[in-house]
Amino acid sequence: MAAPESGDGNNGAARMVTLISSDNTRFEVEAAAASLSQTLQLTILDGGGGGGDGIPLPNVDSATLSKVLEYCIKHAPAAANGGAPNATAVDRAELERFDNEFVNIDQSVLYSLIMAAHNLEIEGLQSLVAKKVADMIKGKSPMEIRRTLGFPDPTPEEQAEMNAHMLEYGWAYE
Amino acid sequence: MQGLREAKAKRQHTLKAIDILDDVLEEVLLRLPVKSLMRFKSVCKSWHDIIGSLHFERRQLLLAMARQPSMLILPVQLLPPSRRMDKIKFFAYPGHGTVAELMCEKLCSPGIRGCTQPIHCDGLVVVAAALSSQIFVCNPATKELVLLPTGSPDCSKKSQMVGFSVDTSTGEYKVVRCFRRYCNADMTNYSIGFLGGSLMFVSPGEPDYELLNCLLLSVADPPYLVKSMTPVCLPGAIYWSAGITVFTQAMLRFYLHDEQFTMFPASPCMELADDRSNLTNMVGKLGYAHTTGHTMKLWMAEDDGVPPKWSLYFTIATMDRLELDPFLCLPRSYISLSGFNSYL
Repeated sequence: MAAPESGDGNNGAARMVTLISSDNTRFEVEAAAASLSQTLQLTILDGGGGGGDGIPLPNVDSATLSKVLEYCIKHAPAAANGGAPNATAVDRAELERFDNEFVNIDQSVLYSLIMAAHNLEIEGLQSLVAKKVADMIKGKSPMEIRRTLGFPDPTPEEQAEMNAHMLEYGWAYE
Repeated sequence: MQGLREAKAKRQHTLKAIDILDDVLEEVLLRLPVKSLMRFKSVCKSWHDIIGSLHFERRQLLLAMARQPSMLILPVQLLPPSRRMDKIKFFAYPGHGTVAELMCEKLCSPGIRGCTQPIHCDGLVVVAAALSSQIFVCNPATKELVLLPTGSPDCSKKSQMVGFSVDTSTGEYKVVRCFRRYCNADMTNYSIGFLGGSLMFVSPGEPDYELLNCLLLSVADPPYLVKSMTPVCLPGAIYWSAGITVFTQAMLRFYLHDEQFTMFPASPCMELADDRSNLTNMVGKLGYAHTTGHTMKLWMAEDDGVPPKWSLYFTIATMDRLELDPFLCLPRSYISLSGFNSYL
């Protein structure tokens, strides 16, 4: 399903690993791409995930995992270059364009994505999604944040504290 | 039954979310501007605690430092009277092998002919436009460039004298501007004024944060002639070369906490009319580079409570007649000097 373009079975073809999502969907992906995850990297280095065995990921569902792998496959070549100091400006611009489009998604998907990136320890993805979420919430009021997160309405004491804070730091609310 | 299971699954999902929420939340919060962070302190107790923690503050500082360019470039050449730059521009130079990029710029009317020597303190840079009363403050961390409200103009055809440093007792950053109301050619009849004020930040005392503005108000006028040169700005105090007349050399020390001037002993051989010698900041210490003919003597003074005393640090003999300005003293006794078109 999310198999990369590289040819199977060729000599010198990249090593593949299989990842299994929480809903039992199998994803075959290049080891280099999956290794962007610090969590998976060690297992893969130890030879895990190859052949018929897959690496089970009980915390990540298939929709989220396919999105995560889309990111990993795109970023794997640059990561293999060690942060790609010799990458051309065109390559970097292309990655940036991809990143911008990649996070242009529904809020609930972003939420699953940031959790998955955290669980799998994919640094680049974590910071990309965190930045996107930060941009989405930076203009909101504390009450809007509470509602978005489904917090109960503030108690009278909490409300009084919120009002006092707003009075003291009026500039932050302008 | 199914409804119950769903509810249970949902609750478990929420619990799981909360387990790692703090880490994930921290990643998101780290990427917010300070204004939002300040507001979000009142979302709930756990947000308040994360944002207010020392750990969070440190990580935020590290991120801000990583974002900062490693070198700041400000073109300062003085243009002839007929030419003016319509903008002041700061460039960021990330390092070897890269191209300097425009970091921030500001339109300035009616244009500037050049800038005085920039002064920096805790990452903030203050630069004054030459031959005008405009003062700019740049915060490279936030890429802000602010024009301070201008005060009374300087009557002379010399560059303005602006000082900038931190008040160590309150952490406030203060700008002080010296100007001449009038001054005759032989400097016998003059009136000197000083304007000073604190920089105002969105979050007080945090140079990383958005800069608002600064109101320059009149501070005590010292009855002295102040030399047209950039003063030495150390934490807590600013040192100006001054005198009652051209022939009675002294120094003025401006304490930032009480905004008062006090007398400070002049270095030996200091003369107001000497245009080749300079006061200098030698890595946080007050220095005076006295240049005569082919020699430069560097005098240093400690100002730490006991009556300050100047002592001769070294003498350099140069091959050419150069104007030398020692600006950096490194361990193992290397000293960087900047001369006219030359570095030693």
